[in-house]
Amino acid sequence: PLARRYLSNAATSPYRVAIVGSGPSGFYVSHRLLEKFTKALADSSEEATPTKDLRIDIFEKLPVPYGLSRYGVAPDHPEVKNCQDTFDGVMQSPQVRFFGNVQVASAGGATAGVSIDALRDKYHAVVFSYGCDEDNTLGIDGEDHPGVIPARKFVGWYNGLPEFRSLNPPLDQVENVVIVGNGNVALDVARILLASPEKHWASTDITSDSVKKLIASTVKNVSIVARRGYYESAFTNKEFRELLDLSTASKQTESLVKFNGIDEFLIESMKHLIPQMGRVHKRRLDMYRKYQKDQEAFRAKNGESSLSAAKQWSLKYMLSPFKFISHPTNPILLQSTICHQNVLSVPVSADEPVLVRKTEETETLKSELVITSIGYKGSPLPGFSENNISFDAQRGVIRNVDGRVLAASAKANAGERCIKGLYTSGWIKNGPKGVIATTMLDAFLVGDLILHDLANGRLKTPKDEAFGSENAVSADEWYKIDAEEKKRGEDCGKPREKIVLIDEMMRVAKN
Amino acid sequence: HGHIHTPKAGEELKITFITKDGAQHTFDVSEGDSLLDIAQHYNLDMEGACGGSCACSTCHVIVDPEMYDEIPEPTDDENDMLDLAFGLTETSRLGCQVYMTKELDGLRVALPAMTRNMTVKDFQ
Ligand SMILES: Cc1cc2nc3c(=O)[nH]c(=O)nc-3n(C[C@H](O)[C@H](O)[C@H](O)COP(=O)(O)OP(=O)(O)OC[C@H]3O[C@@H](n4cnc5c(N)ncnc54)[C@H](O)[C@@H]3O)c2cc1C
Ligand code: FES
Repeated sequence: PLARRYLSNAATSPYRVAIVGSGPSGFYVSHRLLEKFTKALADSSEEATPTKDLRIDIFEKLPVPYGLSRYGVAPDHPEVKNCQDTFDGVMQSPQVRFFGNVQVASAGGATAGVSIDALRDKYHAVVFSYGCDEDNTLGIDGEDHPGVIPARKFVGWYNGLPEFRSLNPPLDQVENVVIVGNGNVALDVARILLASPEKHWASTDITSDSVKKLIASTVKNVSIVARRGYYESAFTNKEFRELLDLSTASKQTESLVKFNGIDEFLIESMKHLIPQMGRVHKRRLDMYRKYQKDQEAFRAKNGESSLSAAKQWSLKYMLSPFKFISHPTNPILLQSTICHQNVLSVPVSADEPVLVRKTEETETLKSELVITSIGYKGSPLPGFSENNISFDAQRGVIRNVDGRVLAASAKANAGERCIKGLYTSGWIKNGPKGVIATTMLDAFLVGDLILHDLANGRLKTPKDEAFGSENAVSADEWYKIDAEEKKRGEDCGKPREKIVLIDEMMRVAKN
Repeated sequence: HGHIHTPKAGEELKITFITKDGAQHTFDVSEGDSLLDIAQHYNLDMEGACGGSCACSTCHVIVDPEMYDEIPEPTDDENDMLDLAFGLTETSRLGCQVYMTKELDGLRVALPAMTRNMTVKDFQ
């Protein structure tokens, strides 16, 4: 029945879908739509030319696609970026157009913009998949000090995001860095600070400018600080293993980095819960024990000095920073981070939440630089309230039901809870969590829902022709930038050297 | 994507994929092909987002418990990715890390169903 309903309209005018943001979620929604739509047509016995029936336009505020796959994923995780092969397949489909350098609902300025109203006029369905472009904040004293850098900016800097290309973190002036938060992004940042710039980073797609800064870095101690305990650690085993590997003497091909270990008390106090916690926690502990054994064996064989290292890192638990103290002489640096010591409730069973309580005891961590990694945050686009789109400012997500955008006021939306033709996917739908695989599964469900709505005539027929713009970067033009970056990379032994200036990207694209 | 070898006559190995709708798909394949390559070759719903480099978990399969032990044990890297697989089971594996061998002739694997991520919360 799905296919037949498509077909009744297909010959006359194509279904048009606009995707806002070209990160993994926008691409995976598109991928799913194309795949399912083509399948539905192929399955039907009626004659049809599938390529004429569905059109997807992808809008991206930057001249270049892929979102956090390009600008978030760590440079030493090139395999993760292989998802871009699928995205390329989408962009090269005759049914799809890429509009880079087109910001949706921009407040004006140099980049060409397109309003939400215009999109709603021109497309059957509009999918907001524009990710999270703000930082969560701790809300504490001194947080706006230049010595406190949100991970989003730091990550953007080493990955060549134009906005943060001149961040210039003072790595050559500091020895002690505190990272607040212990999710995978925090561990990415720790790896950047700890692993050898020459041996580990120089051959990745990290910017050359970052490699230079990392070579000049004087960072010696990296402390990764979390509110809760070891068992509540937010990092995954893969990321933990990567850091442990840097600290395992027997595996060293670079220079050894010292790990200060995990407080045994933290491990022992909740050990009774491991059987209920299951696989991930059990593996994490096994991994750590194995690391300890390896190190012990290495020390026994090669002597104490074989484990000496120039850099070290610690996982610090049950600490809540509440104040950053400025450096006495250097205005861009801090001196220390003062934290409350927390106590945790020890639950009887693993499904009871672990409660955190601050105590009056404090701990002062020497830190000339702090990187906060406590989450990205989404923000509403200009025009949301005019379009009756409901945004949850606290969580930083578009309110939705399985991806259908909720109306801020049902009254203003003819009594319907969701707004016809508006969808959302990815981090702006779910909040800033989840790896690309999670984002993909969720995007597929949203794609299915859109198809369902299209098939059931839930969506109105748009008035206008699709959007076009001279300033926009097309897929072909993006591949010019891509080729130029790869060429520059070749000259310095890297898979690519990213262009970090928008103007320069545009020159290459329009050349 | 999905390059597989044509099995030599008499050396075909059988593999059955059970897709999300419960349908069974049996193929004759050759030794050395990965489950990811086979599934993609036959257009089954297996994404393989990282191109088979053990970095995404989107090639997750659930192996028939009867034959699970015939497959060489997962490496640490595979286990790290399995940690993140959606709907993990005791006999889960990554399709890109499992290669057909004679011992695996007749293997049966299921592709995990994604359940809808319902948000029943009433926002209004
Ligand atoms: C530092 C970091 C490291 C990560 N590492 C990994 C990893 O190793 N493995 C893994 O699986 N996952 C990783 N992830 C998670 C992964 O990046 C996310 O799951 C995924 O990128 C989310 O996709 P998205 O499309 O929702 O958002 P995004 O990737 O953020 O894409 C949103 C896109 O929308 C564009 N945009 C924003 N506003 C507008 C507008 N107004 N108009 C038009 N376009 C707009 C943005 O420029 C961007 O291109 C990492 C995330 C981060 C932050
Ligand atoms: S294809 Fe990515 S883990 Fe197997």
